[in-house]
Amino acid sequence: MTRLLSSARASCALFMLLLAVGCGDRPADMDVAFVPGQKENKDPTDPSGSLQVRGLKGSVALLDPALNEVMMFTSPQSRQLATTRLPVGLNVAEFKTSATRDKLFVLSRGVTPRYKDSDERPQLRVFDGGTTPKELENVALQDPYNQLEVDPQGEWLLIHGSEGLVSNPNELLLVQLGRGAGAAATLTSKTLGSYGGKPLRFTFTSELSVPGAASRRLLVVQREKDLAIIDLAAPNDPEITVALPQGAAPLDVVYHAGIDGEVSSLLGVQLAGDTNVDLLTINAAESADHEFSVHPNLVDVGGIPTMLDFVQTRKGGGLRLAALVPTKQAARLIDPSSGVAQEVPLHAAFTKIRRITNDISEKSGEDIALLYGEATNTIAFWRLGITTGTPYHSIEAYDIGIKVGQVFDIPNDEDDTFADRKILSGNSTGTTQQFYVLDLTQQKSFPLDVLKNLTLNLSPNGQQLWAFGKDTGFAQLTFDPLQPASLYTEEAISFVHDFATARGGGERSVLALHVLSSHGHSSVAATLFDGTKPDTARTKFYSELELEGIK
Amino acid sequence: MTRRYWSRLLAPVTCVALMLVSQGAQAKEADAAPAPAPTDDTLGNHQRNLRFEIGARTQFVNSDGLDPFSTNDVLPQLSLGASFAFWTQQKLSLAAVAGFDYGGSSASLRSDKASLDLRRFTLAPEARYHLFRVLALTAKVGPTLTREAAEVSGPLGTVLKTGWKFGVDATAGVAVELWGYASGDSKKPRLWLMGEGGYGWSAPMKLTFQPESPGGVPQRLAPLNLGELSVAGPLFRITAGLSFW
Repeated sequence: MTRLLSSARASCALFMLLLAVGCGDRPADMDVAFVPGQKENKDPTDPSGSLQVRGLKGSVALLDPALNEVMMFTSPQSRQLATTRLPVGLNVAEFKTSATRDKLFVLSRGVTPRYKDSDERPQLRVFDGGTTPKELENVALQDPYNQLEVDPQGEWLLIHGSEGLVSNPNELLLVQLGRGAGAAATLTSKTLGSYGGKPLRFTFTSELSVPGAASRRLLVVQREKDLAIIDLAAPNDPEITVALPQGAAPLDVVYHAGIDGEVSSLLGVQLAGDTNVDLLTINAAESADHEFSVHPNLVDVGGIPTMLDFVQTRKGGGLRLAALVPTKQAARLIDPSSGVAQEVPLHAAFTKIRRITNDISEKSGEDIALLYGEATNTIAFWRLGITTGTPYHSIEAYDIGIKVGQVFDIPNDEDDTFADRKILSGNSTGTTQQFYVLDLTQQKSFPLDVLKNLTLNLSPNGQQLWAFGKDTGFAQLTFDPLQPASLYTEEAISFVHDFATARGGGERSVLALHVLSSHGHSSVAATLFDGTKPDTARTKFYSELELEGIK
Repeated sequence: MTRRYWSRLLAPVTCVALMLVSQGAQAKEADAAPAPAPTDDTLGNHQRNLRFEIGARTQFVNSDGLDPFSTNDVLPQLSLGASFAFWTQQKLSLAAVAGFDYGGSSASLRSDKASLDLRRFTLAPEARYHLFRVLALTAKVGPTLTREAAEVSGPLGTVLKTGWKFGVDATAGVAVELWGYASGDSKKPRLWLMGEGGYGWSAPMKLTFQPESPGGVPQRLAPLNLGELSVAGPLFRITAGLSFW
């Protein structure tokens, strides 16, 4: 019987051992409910709204904050969906794309405070936005930051906004993205000298010519009382600080590369609540510390301007800084050489100006600008070449029935067929909402009626536009012919985007994203359409995408 | 009582049962006269009988396919069985066994609820060797047929995946007669406690789910795919039984 007792005890021990072996935990990710990432978004042209989803050239990226991952939805072929999960780091602070939507940037704060070496550091991760999503770079940061600015030309990123018991708002981290495969990003930490001001906004300029030196790009940091100008060709050099008149805060900075033989590169600074415009000329270096110098010139435009832009009034010259002064229902053209301002009366109180010369391949060399604003139902084409002498006749105005708030450019980095089109959207005064497609070459505007306020998202290939609301309907608008097609899904839509499939050859899929309710939590689903000839009767519905790829 | 509760309960219950068996055996050893060495004649109905069993089967399944349905790798089941010992040769006997196991598991799956239901049918020969009159070693290998029903309840309702899968169970264990007349000629029922361990395997099932009611979901719904479930792994079974003749 002793043997029996021993064997019973041995069996019990074996059972407990097997139980311990067998009680392996499942992946912890399965216990975490999906919560869509949300962040306040004040950019009315961003179709993502507050949802942290981004449309890229070859994928749609959706943040899964509970798992610290991004779900990259790609399409192996038309109407098919594949999901790739990539880690993004803990506590995502920023989730942005490059201007051309070929890259995704994710700034994470990591574990704060970091008590252990094993606690994750703050990071910047760069992901490929193509049809095969992957992490391109992972830059470890010393401190956590909250904000990320993206260079429109895709060369630089700016990280700022550190948060701690004591933080310096003038501490900036410049990241020069690697060029070519395998090239690593380089970091430059920069602490701006300050006279009490904090950074408000940032402007990356294009290449600006500098007398006696190579042309270079600048980063203009708009602060509460001054500007700090950083030479991106030598980011370690000390910045140039330009004090603003009477401590006025800057509202916007515009730039121009200058015109050979006429005028050097220029910066135009709009000041808050001030009738003066600060015109900064980039001149040759005056000290060994910098490769250039900056000379300010204050010009009164007779009223508070709402927007500035540089324009050319004749082929190869005639550079002027245009300032819109809606209180005077006029524009002022400032000659940067003399500082003299010429008044041009306008048909309406336009508040915004957009130079569109490049978009219409104007051969005369004179600039054409589009005038619009949220205070008027009128838009106008302003031919700068005939402004002198006949200023009023240089403007052709059209009443389009909506107050234009946003002007969308058609992406043209893949195909510039429709680069001469603009999308105008805003609030209409009537019961029917509208947006307009503007043909700049023919100077025609095509009104498109919509039943409700829709969010607009332009295809990265520049061939079509998607308009969607919060219910189950959305529309495709092709530009040639200008033909809208109504499409429907069976669940409410949160986002619509079209992107290239992995098969290439112009094949595309369009994804309508749904965030659904499931047991008090959220779930992700998508309806996939063909991206070039979408048809409501030929779709594929994918549910519970938050489960894809969890390990 | 949830399935998760079952899985937590099984370990201590099984251990307590084994300890009781050993304690019971000890008591019986103290009270009873030494058992005579078993012979074919004395074993009688201790060996040749019809036995009905009820108990618990616990299987440790290491398949990733179980993860959506369970927070651990333990798959508890209610186990029912019947056996008929139809052939004897001295201490050795052979029985035909029919078994039915029922159980499963459920768990939350991110924002969804997932559950797995298993019904296994077994038909196997069991070899028994009586070390003592009240104690026999057992060994069994037999085919199984399992109905596996997985479901996920999500935003579009419930999606299902069911299938019948062939498999095999190979176990060895011990059967202890806890109560019964010593004489092998007695026709009275006898109380048994059986414990066995081994390995169970069922053919893998692809977890591609289809809607429970196709009318209520979006057109051309792509099936939810959660990989593949293979109900395979070490198993334990503890049962109590009554034998008759």
